[in-house]
Amino acid sequence: MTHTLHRRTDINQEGEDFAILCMAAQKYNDKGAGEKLKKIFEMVADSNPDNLADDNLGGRYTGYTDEEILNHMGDKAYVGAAFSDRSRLKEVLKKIKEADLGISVVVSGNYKAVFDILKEIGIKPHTVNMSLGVFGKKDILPREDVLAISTMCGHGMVSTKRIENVIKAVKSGKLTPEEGGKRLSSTCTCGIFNPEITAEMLKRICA
Amino acid sequence: MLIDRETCIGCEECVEYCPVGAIGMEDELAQIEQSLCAECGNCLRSRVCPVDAIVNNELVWPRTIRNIFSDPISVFHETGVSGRGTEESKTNDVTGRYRKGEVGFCIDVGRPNAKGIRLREVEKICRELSKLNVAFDPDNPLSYLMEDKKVGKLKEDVLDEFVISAIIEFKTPLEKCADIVKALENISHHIDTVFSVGIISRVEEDGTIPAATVLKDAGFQTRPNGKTTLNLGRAL
Repeated sequence: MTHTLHRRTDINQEGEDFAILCMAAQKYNDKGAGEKLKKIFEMVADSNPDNLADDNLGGRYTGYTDEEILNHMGDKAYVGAAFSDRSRLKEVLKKIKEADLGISVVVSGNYKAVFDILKEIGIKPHTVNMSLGVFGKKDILPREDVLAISTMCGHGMVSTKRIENVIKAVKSGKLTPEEGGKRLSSTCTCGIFNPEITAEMLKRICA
Repeated sequence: MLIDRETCIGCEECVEYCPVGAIGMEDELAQIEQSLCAECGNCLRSRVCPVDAIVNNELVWPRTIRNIFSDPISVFHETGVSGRGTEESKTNDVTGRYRKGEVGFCIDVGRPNAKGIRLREVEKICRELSKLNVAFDPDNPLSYLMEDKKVGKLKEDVLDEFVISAIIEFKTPLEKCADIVKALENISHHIDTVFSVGIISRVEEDGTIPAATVLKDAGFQTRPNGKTTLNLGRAL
């Protein structure tokens, strides 16, 4: 999730694009964290996320059922999820707060929107990780519309070539934008690649 | 990663999955260019091959580094943390790694989408940063690869290893952060890749973010979106 702060389009920066990550701090509160993280996973699953995973295994779009993910989860699990509207995000954060499990929760998205939600439900923001953007030899980067989609996966697991092929398929009518978004989600193991937002980007690119 | 060419049927399905473009076709069968393979496992994990011709070969030092830095599922055993960095600010509500008055830096070299980097490029940046007396995060996998942390020198045998990206992490006093960003701007003209800069700061009680203010005054604008660690975690 390190890279979610560098999501770059107006949809990511100003719109309703949120990702969450829940994890234990190794050597501080990881002992027995697996059961707490499973509870959080179930709360997130009940809140209709756009994507959901344990980064140590994979998620809904990488071919695992929620049950398989839950069975695999241990003390080092990372619950990652994506949301494309603030009401669902608010609902799940409220549930996690009420459960009071002592697990760290990170929300990625527009700061003003996130801080507003936190204020509404009585959670204080503790620390932020902010982006100053990209430095260096930018001419090696793919074209902007491809980069917008590839940066949805922080680990760089959605290849340029695959994105270009999906764009071609959507343009030619072989795939709908929604199908394209889901297809591209299939290599993001941590559940933060958002198929709904990607579909929106594909619609813009292919319009 | 390897392709078992006796099993491969040449369907080309795997080619587009490689984030660094290391998979190509030769004599109508898929082949992975070993010098370019970052050992991220994306091709195998995607289960794209209809005949299971993608093989996870046993890695030996220093090639093992590629997997640690490139495979999001790989865990760095020394810290128990998966991925190429630390928990950085994600668990700061529990660890207190970044305190008020301090600023953390996460410099993601090779991101976004540079199609891989040699660690030699990372060393260039570390060496320049070391001139500003930066103390590299001891828990970051890169620190384990350093021969001399004071000058940011990596071990000779890892310099040509090819990875998807690497994260340089350190923290500084708040008043020093703008100078570090200026230095990064200068370094950016002398490297053969890209890097993304993340700035970690505690949030004040009134919701203000000191590092954002200091950087803005120095002419650097942080983006309107990013990560927020909530005040929900606690140590056992």
